[in-house]
Amino acid sequence: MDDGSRIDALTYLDRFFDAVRDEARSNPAFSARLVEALGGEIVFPGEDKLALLNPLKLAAVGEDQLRNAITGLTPKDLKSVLKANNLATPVDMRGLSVDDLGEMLVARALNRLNERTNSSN
Amino acid sequence: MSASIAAISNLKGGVGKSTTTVMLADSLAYFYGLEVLVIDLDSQANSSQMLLTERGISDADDQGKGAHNLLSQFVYGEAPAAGPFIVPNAVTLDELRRAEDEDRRQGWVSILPSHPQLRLSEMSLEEDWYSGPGTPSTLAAALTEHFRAAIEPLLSVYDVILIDCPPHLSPLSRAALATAHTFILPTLADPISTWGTKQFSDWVSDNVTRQLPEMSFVIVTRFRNTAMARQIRTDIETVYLKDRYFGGVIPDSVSVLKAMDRPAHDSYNTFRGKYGSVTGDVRRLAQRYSNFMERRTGLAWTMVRE
Repeated sequence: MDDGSRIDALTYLDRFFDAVRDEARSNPAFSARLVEALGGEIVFPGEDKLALLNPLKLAAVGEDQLRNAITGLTPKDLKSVLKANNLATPVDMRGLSVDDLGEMLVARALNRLNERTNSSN
Repeated sequence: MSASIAAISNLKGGVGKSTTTVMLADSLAYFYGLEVLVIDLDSQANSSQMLLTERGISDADDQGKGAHNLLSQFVYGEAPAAGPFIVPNAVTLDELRRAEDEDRRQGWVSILPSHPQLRLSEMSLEEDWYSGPGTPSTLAAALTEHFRAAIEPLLSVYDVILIDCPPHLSPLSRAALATAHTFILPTLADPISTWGTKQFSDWVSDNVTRQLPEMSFVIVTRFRNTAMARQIRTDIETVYLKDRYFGGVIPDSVSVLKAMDRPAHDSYNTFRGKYGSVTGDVRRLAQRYSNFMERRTGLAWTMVRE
C-alpha cells in the first residue's frame, strides 16, 4: 500500500458515495433501481422516461399508474416499449393508431401480470 | 395422407423437449406446408403455453378442450375420440394465418393442449387402477389401446403428430411412446443429459421397441460453443449414439427464449421475426427431419416456402 491508501473512514465514505452519485447521474436504470430499493417512488425525468418505463411494474401498482406513465408517448415510443417488453410483435402493431397502441400496451401488460403473478401475492 | 406420429421424449427434464416440439411444428408447417398436430402430454403444459399462451390454455379448458379430457374419457369408459378435445388453431405465424384468410392454406398447427389438471387426473386414475389387481404395465397397455383408437381418425387429417412427453415414465408417458412411429430425442451436450439419454434408450429398447436406433432422431439443444460442449457433442454423435440420425444443433440463444414467449393469445409474427438469429437453425431442423422421414418412409415432403 502506498501513502494514498492510508485515508480515514469518512474519506472512504465520501469517495464511495461520490461514485454512487456519479453512476446514478449517468445511468438512469441504476438510478431507478436505487430509488426503488430505498422504497421511493421513481420519477421519470424527460428523455429517460422511455428507457425506465417498465409496464409490468407499473401495472402491478395499478392500471391508472400505467396509463399516466404512457400519456403523451408518441406511436414510435409506444411501439418501442411494446417491443422492448415483448408485449407485441411488429405484425401486431402494424397500422395501429396511438390510441390503439396505448390500449394494447395496457391490456397486454395487465393480462401478462394476471397470467404470471402468483395468485397469493 | 396418413400422419406419422413422433414422441419428443427424454427422461431428463430441461433438455428442450417443448421448445423442440414447437420449433418442429412451426417449421414443418411453414417450410413444408404440413398439417401438424401437437399433443402436449406434459402437465407442465410448456408447449401449450408457447403456442396458446396461458390465457389460451385457460380458454381451451373452459371450452372442454385438453388432454386431461382424454383421460376422463378413458376413466368413464367412453368411446375413444381425441378430436373433440383439440384446439384447431394454434398458429402463431403470420404467413400461415394470412394464407388461411386468403383461402390458400399451406401449413397449419393444431394442438391437443395440456393443463395442470392432467397430472391430477393421471394420479387419480393411477390410485383407482392400483387399488385393484391393476399394475403400471396393465394401465399403460390399456391407455395405449385407448390412445391409438382415439388418434386413429386423426391420421387422415394430419401429416405429422408430435407428442410432447413428460420427463418420466408414467403409464401415460409409456402409452405415448407405444403410440409413436418415431422418437425425437433432444439432449444437451453435457454429461448428465448424455446419461439421461442412455437411460431412456435402454428403457425404450427393453419395453417398447428393439428398433429404437433407426426410429430415433437426436437433436443437441441449448448448445454453447465451448470446448467441453464440442467434445461431448462429438462423443454423442460418434460414440454413444452413433447408430442414430442426428438433427443438428439448436444454439443456446436469447432468440430461442423470445420465440417461445408469445406476447399474447392474439399475437402473430413472421417466421423470421419469431425466430430471429436462429431462423437458419430451425430451417435446418425441419430439413433434417424431412430427410430422416424420407429415409424411413420413402416419401419426400416438398418445400413450399424458402
